[in-house]
Amino acid sequence: MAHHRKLKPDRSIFGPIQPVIVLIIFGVTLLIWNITIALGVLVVIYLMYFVFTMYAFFRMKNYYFLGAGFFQITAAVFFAFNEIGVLPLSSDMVVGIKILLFTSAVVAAYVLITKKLKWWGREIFELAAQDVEIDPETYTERPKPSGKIVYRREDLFGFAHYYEKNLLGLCKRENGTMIFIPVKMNGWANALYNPSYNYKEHSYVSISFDGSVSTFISKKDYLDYKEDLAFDQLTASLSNLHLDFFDWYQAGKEVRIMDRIREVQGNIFA
Amino acid sequence: MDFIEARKLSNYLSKEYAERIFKLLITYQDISASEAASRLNLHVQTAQEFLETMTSYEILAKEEVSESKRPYFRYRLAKRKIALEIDLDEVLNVKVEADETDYAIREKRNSGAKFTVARNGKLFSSVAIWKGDGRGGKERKINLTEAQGLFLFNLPFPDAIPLTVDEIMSRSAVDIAQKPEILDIVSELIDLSVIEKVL
Repeated sequence: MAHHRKLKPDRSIFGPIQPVIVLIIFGVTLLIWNITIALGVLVVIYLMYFVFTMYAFFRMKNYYFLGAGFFQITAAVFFAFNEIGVLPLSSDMVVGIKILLFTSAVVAAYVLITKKLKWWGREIFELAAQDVEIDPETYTERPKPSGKIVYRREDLFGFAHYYEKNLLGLCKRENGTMIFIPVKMNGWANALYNPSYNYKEHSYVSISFDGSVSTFISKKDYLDYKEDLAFDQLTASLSNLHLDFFDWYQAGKEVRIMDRIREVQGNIFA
Repeated sequence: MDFIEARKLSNYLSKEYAERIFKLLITYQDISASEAASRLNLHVQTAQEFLETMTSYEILAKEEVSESKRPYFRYRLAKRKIALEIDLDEVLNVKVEADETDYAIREKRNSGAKFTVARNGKLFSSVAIWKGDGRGGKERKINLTEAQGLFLFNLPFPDAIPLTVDEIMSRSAVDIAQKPEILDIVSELIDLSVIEKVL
């Protein structure tokens, strides 16, 4: 079904720019020094990526991070031992590392193509805005109470785990409240690795342990829409969307959540 | 006594020489302004003004006398206890009339108010409003009581259907006894163009 997009196109270049930067660093070190040092730098970069990826895995419990990490560590080992020759290896070992590198590259390609490590915050905001009318000058920088729900505490924790594992966003437990923060592709690194990341500056839906729900949409996320949407409707819609997801999770229909989100996903490069 | 009268009386009672004049009035049966002024080393007009003011509050009584010269007043204590009493209910008249809240409200479009969420995330702890433009602008921050914070947390958004104060109070589970403080913040925020009345 064709969907009229309400968000501005994602012009973030954070994803594609990374391999380009790595190539530039590799090229510059090669020009200044030699291939051994350039490969050494490449190994360090891959190891750094590996550390960050493993942190993401332990934080989000998404096993596809292991696929990415597998490729990064194998590439680091390949360049360190095969190309630089840190230690002399037998021909069998060299073949083994090459097979590992090829296998990990296939796994990494699969993860990339099937968007297993895509953050779905953008789609969540797109869905929230679906039936919202245009109404200028309605933005206000405060949360909206969105009623009360009844649920089992373990279901809320389970849903939070699901939310993070499927990269819908981050969850934070604070003062008897579980806060769900949708994270877009252009903001995941900041959300995940910035130690001073303050969720209160970002959009969120919070569900307290007594069942009270409140929703906040940040100005940045609001201005990410092409037009000024009716803010009350938008906030209510974002809240309802999360509550629908939670209902589906409680009913054991988690698959519906990703089905719904994928309805509005952009092109294959998004 | 209202606040204007109380302010005037307090102003005189707080004078450095007030205690010394009353000491004289207790010691002497009666005293004239010039006698008091010379005794306390004050200007006669200062002593006169003080004694006249105290007389107007019936703390002193005065009597006109003339001893082979032009008449003048002698002052004596009319009461030996000074009480400053203000009936707040009568003076401020803050009783809530039913029709006073017979209108619906919501946040005004582009109010520019910044609400700070309290630690528990269920109410606001303060609201800040920027007044004025450019460098001359000033931030006005109002710390909220718990009831006010709860109430404003449930204030309808600028594009939402406006609600009456009673409806918002009921939605935010604020006790009816706290209505005066709710009306106070509502009135203040209407003045500051943060809340709009929708009749």
